[in-house]
Amino acid sequence: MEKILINRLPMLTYRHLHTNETEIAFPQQAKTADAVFSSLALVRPGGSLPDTFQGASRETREAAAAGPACRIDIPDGTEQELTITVALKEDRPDYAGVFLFRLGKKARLNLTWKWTGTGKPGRCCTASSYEVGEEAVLRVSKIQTGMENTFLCDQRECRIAGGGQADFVSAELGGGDTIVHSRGELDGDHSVMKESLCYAGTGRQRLDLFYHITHHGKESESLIDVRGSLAGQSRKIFRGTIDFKRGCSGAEGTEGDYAVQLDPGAKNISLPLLLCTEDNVVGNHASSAGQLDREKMYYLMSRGLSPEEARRIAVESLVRPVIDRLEPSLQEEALQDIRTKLNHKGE
Amino acid sequence: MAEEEKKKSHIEDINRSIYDVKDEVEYSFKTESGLTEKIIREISEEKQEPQWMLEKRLQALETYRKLDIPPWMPDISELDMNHIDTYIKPRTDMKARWEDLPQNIRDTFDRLGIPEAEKKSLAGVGAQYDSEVVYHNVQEELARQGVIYVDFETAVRQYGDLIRPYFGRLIPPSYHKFAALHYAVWSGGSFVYVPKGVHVDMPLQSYFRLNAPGAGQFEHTLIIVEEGATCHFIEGCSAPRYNVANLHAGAVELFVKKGAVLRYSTIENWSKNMYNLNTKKSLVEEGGSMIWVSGSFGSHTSCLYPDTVLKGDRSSCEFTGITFAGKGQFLDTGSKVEMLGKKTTASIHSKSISKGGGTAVYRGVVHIGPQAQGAKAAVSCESLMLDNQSRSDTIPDIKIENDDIDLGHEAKIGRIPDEDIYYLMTRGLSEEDAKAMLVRGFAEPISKALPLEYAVEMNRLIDLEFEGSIG
Repeated sequence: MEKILINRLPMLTYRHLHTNETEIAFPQQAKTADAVFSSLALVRPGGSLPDTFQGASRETREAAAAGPACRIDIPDGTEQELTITVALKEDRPDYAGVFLFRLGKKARLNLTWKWTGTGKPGRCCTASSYEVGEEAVLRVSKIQTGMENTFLCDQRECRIAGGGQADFVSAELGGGDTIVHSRGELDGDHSVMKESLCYAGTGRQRLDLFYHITHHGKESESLIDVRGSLAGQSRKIFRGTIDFKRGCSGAEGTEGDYAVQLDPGAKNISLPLLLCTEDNVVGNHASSAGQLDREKMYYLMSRGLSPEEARRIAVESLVRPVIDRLEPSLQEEALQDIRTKLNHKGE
Repeated sequence: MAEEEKKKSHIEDINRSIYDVKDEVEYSFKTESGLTEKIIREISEEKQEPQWMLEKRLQALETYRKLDIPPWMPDISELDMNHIDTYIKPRTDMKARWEDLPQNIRDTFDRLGIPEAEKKSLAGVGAQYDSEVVYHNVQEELARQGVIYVDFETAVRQYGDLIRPYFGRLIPPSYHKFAALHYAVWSGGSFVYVPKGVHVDMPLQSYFRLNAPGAGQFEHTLIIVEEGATCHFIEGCSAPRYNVANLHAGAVELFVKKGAVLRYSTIENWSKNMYNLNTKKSLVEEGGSMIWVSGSFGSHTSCLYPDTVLKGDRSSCEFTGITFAGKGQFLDTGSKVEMLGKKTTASIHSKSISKGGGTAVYRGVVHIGPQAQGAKAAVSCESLMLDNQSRSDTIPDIKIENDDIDLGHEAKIGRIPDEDIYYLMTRGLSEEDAKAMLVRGFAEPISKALPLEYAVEMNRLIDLEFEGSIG
């Protein structure tokens, strides 16, 4: 299997820890499943990624670009809802595709992504480009479950004009290797981008999460909020960067990476970068890692809960702020999947 | 008058010229510029070293040639090793009395206040001038207790069997390119040995002065604190400013044995033509404590990340550091902690200030190994931007390989809040005074960790850096 390097940090650091980028086995693609749209009225076939689109690596970008492309334009001042479902099958365990979204001025789009599949090994690479116009609002909710032997690579880049907002909420619960590569450009004044993600790593699952939000516009705002648990031999790498460029006066950016480690074999790596060339900004980072709070566990168990139930509640309370921001129809499914995974945490 | 008042309120009695006085360059021996085998053999011969040391130097040269410059480092393309004088021996031998030094060298250290500090508050002093230590002394009482504090050349000659197992053990030449350079051309530095159970109550201080333009300083510091012993070591450094690049590539290896405590304080005030590519690393055994206090103010470019290996169970480390990057400076600093033993603890507090186009980078590592059950680490990084011409980056790397740990990390970047300045101005302070006071408050946790004289020096440096920078 070909080895590739993905999710390279925008500012490199020491080499001996091997955290600047990730070397990962890149499986071959076989037969691809289809993406199913809740409404075809908005979808136009064709289009290509912007030249500036970087993706997790050249190989993953090209893999996505080899699939079908489509454009989804939301005209000025209109409001739309769209659900895209990709269900991998035993005989079609792969996917590749490009999605080009453009929201006109004051447009609104509620977009839902659903990914499901079997345990059949496969490879899914997507590349999504979002252009959010002035005062437009984009809300994206994503859930992916199952697919425990699938290489999943979600690459997205989002450019936001003045007053525009983009809010990405993801429950990355499935997948064997789960790669997220997200870039945001807050071009306009008062633009906002939020990225929230929860996960529950089990077995030999690997999560490789990359976020890079760049502030150009004045009083722009960003949030990166990643939460989850790691059990078994699972491994998570978080590479988050908030980049304040000169001129983004009044901007505020916050990133948080919160992990609980449930087993000794789990590994957790965190690289939360703050880059800054503008003085009038507020940039914050907070992260925590460790076992579940023993006092909290003791309290729950003193109320009659078993250790397993107490652990489940404690993990749920950690990821709940992300779950609650998912599109309502996805919330229960996400919680159920987390509960199931915690019951079989080492598997 | 207004200008005078400003100086009075901010500068007080500090005089920057004490660092910038250039002595006439006088030497008894000097190698050619550059880095060749011939030069290394000359240095070794001049020092009358044992064969093992020459071989180590030559091996290090080979390693230096093989290694590349790490891709993450700041741009050092203006540093040309072909124009660096790697060894300049001053025109004096090492003395044990300040009075015996040549007048110009004595005057330099007098201006820097070293003899005065020795009388008041130090248990021992070493003073290096260019490539050699010119003064070394330690209190007789400490010597009677078995404390060894000598220049490194003396250590190689007199305590070869003691230092040989430790020299290059923590920082091998392969550590990085400039560690290899260090071992090829090292000269000067200090060796400290504190026997089991001995407490060195007053600090020991080594001061490094680089006078010659285009010169490099490559001192080696080795400290061994035996079981249950304690020691506070202070390192100071300065140089006059020249138009050509100077280079500092020292190495500091610290061994903290079972239950021992070592505090290592540094106020770095190199001139702004200096490339400071220094390497520091400590190994802490069971129950031992390593405490770093670091102030980085000078240098054109600095790469400095004190590294602590918490090997023993219940060993601990604290790092408290401040970096002040002004115009034309790129100060890439931070700390590394490798937590390997059980129930180890690490506490890292880093602050940086950047202004006038300066760049301050915090680059840190916390690595909690698979066997480090019960490890606890807390990291905080605060960066203050004083204008929008400057740059401040925070690049932490946290790697956790077991579940029984507790780690918290927080970082923030911003400027002095307007409301804080406004509040102080309503109490009668000028904007400049208010900002200077707030910056001093920002730096206070570090100045509190320093001995009084050095805290005062640090505050004065901050005041000085403010002159004319606000408004």
